Amino acid sequence: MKTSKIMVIVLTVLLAITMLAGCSSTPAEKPPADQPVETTFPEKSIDLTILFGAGGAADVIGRKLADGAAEKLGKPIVANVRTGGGGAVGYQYVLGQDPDGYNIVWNSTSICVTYHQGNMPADQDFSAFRGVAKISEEASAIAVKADAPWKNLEEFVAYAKANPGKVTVANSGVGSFNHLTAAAIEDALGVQFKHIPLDSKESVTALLGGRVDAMVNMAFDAIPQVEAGEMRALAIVGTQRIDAMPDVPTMKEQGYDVDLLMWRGIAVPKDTPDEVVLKLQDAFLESANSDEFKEFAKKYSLTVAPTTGAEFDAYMAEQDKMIADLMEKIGLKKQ
Amino acid sequence: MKQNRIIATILLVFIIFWAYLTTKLPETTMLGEPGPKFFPAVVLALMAILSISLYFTKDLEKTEVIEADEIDQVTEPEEELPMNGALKLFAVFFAGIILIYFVGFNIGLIVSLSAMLWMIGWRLFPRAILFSASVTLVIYFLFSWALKIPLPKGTLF
Amino acid sequence: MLEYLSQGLGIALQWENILFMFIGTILGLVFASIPGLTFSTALILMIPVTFGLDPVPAISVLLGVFAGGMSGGSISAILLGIPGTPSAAATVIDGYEMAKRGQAGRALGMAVYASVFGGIFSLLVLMLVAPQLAKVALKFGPAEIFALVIFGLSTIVSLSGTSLNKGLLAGLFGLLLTTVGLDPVMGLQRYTFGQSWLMIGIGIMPVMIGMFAFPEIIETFQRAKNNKGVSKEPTDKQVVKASFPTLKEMKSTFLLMLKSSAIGTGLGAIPGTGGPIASFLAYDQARRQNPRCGKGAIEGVGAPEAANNGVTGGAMIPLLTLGIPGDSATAIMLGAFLIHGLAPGPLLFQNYGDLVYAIFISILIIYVMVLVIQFFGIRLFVKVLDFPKVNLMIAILAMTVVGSFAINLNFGDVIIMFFAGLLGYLMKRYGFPITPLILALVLGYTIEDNFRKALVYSDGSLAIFVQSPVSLVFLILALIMLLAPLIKPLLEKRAKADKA
Repeated sequence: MKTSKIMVIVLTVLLAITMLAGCSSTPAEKPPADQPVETTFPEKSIDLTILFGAGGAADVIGRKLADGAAEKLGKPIVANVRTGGGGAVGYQYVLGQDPDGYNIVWNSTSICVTYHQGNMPADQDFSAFRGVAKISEEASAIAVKADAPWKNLEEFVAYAKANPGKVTVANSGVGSFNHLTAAAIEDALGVQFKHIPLDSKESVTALLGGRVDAMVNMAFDAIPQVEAGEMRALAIVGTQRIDAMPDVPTMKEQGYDVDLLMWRGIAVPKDTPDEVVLKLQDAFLESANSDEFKEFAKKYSLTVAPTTGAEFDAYMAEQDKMIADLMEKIGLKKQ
Repeated sequence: MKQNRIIATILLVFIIFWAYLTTKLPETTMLGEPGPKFFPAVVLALMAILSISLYFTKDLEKTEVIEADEIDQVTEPEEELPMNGALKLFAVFFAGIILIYFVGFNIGLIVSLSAMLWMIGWRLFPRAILFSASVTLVIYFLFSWALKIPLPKGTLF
Repeated sequence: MLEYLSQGLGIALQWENILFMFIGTILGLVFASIPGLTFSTALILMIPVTFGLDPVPAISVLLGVFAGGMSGGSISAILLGIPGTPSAAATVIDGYEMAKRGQAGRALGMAVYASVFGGIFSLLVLMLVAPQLAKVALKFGPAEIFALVIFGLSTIVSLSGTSLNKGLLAGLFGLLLTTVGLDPVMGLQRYTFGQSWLMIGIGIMPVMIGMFAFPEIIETFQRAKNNKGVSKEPTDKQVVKASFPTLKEMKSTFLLMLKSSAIGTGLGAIPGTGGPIASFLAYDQARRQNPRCGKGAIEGVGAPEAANNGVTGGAMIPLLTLGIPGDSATAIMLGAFLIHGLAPGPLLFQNYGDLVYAIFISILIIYVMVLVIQFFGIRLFVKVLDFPKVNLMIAILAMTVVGSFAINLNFGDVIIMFFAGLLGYLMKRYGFPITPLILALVLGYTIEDNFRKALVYSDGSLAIFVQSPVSLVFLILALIMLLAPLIKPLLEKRAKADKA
């Protein structure tokens, strides 16, 4: 009985200490205006919101990147997965926090798509965020089954032209990046597909199981199947060929003007102070440029293409316009 | 009291409300599939049929329940606990959750657990608070400190 | 193959590897057995850890969490009536019933035996026929998965207890709840009232935590109140003895275990189905064998546990042979493979046969660990029942809040958990069974998703569901299940009349 009382007292004291400790870590006071470059940020751990499923490429790469940046900043960056609504849930969470740099988001093309699809409030498009740094780009690919009759893009296009609306193409869901890519391909090739909305893994099973004629998916999802001789990639949708599939030409090489890349970067709410953004930018760019990260990104067929926050802002604006136009074309643009 | 009838009526009101929400969903005819309204509509229709059938089902008598359980000799006849008491406990706990939402996990949980303990007759406040505090502390250490899983922060501070 | 086996043994038996398996298994068991924590959380926590490990230890630690978690889900299901994972929801029915009668030890023993049985069975399948089974799994398109899941849902009939009508209503309500959030095909918001926290939808974990935990908590508190706050009364007065099933019991349940493990392995291999359906289908098998299921029969504990552990090996099949994860656990494992530059898929067996066999052996060792840890653990776990019940329930109450929050770090889930608890209490009071609602909630999204996607393939023609033989068979089976309670009394009457 006595020991239990002592235990309880000890625990309570401990609790009091923790609560006091919790209070002391309130946000830093703002530095005087005349010296904006000096900042004591960060004074506590930073919360990195990850928008897509635990263990997926977005999650794992985001964590690796954050590890490097945390080393530079001297405080931990804790990755927290907040999925849902095609990223909308995580974006809205970050926008709902104080713009002090302690809540950052592993941003991607999804901000444009989910906004125009109508899943973000009207005033929360890409410009509600401020870019810290653009980090990477990923290309997608169009692939068919290895035993399909089409040996190259030309034959595939010829067949698709002869059978408008008959060729089934799996994408990663209505309004997904790969749906937009597929629509852009359709546009450039002057053909009409029948789009089957699956997710990226279902696309692979559907193609291997012979339920669709082709898939438009991230190149990363096609590579192991192509290497194993189960699939044939017809073209890369991107500016350059991919190391893992050096024989597969890009769309551009084959004379079609499709150039859509999935990009990722770090962003914060737009009212975050300059000095905090700069500090974060330096840390994340250094992490992105490290050999360790580049080596890691390679395993996910990710091209590391870092730019500064200001450049990222301009890039997002440009991309947003392009995606809005594409979505308008396929009838998905709600706002 | 015809219990089944009351439940069936409540269900039907709910179904009508949900059906109304369903009619407000946007119409889409893309892709040749039935669209976002279809599945809820089917489920609601089936629910409506079963609710109506429940309305006309006689209430199960207590004796019947025991009969159905006859293989089971161990079951002691359970006394009915008053529902009001239960609802009061729910209300207090809900207040606790709202408190956690505003003031954050640590304080909110200690207060709401203590309140629950007080409700069930732990009138010795220090003991109730100490117990609540130790539970909270263990959880705090496990999640925030050991596992680095954030706990609700509270929106007021 | 023998060469790979010996190389694999060499890799798997390194002390570092064994240590990580052990850590993973313990973590999985602990996370799954604490209500409010799930082994998915443990898997996510392990992601950064796997960055720094060699491939085999990295996979081993995740496999340990996966297998330990699957088997550990039964612990809180049996002792507290709160399933540790959605896959253990079927275990609650008989497991908790047994615990109420002081047979917690026997139920736990059966659960361990069944878990290990299912796990090892699925491992054998994985080793022997993975490529063939993967080919079959590839044939499961939306139409087939829809039919299969409808068949799984039809087991609601056997879960409904005294009133089929109420059971079906509960199930339908569960289906309706899955429509909240983003629509599976178009990504449009439904019933979200513009709230971002509802866009995630109504999660299975918050609802499950609330519905199973609250009725127990409230009842305990009310009883304590009637006794003027006396809290010294231990949860269960009977002495709880831990015991494995006897040889006779093992013999009598052998066929059922085999069937359940096969169900679990098969469903595990089909991406997009998985644990909960498998365990409910297996439970249905148990009911066929022993009509006392539902009132505390070991068959009712064994079948779902064998099935959900069968899923572990089954889920590895599409992961290893095709590089396609079937659920969130294997998705995280896929990540661990890729981090180390290993792409699971057809080439994995050719290029890294030794690693693949090391993984097989690791699974075997993990299940031996599960057996040993649980065997000694049972004595410890049942000690939970010695705590004063009020104190225990207060702790669980706190965990319901944290647990429901921790899943998505979303406070909305706590609110959902609370209302699910209130609804669960009212349902229990008015004779509505809870398990059909949980089952429907697990399956609803898959049903709608696959139904609509199948119709995209067929341009809206329902014929796709009857043209595929697999789909047709499952739909007919489901129909038989649903109609059986209506037809059976008629048949019995006729049989009686014939006899007379």
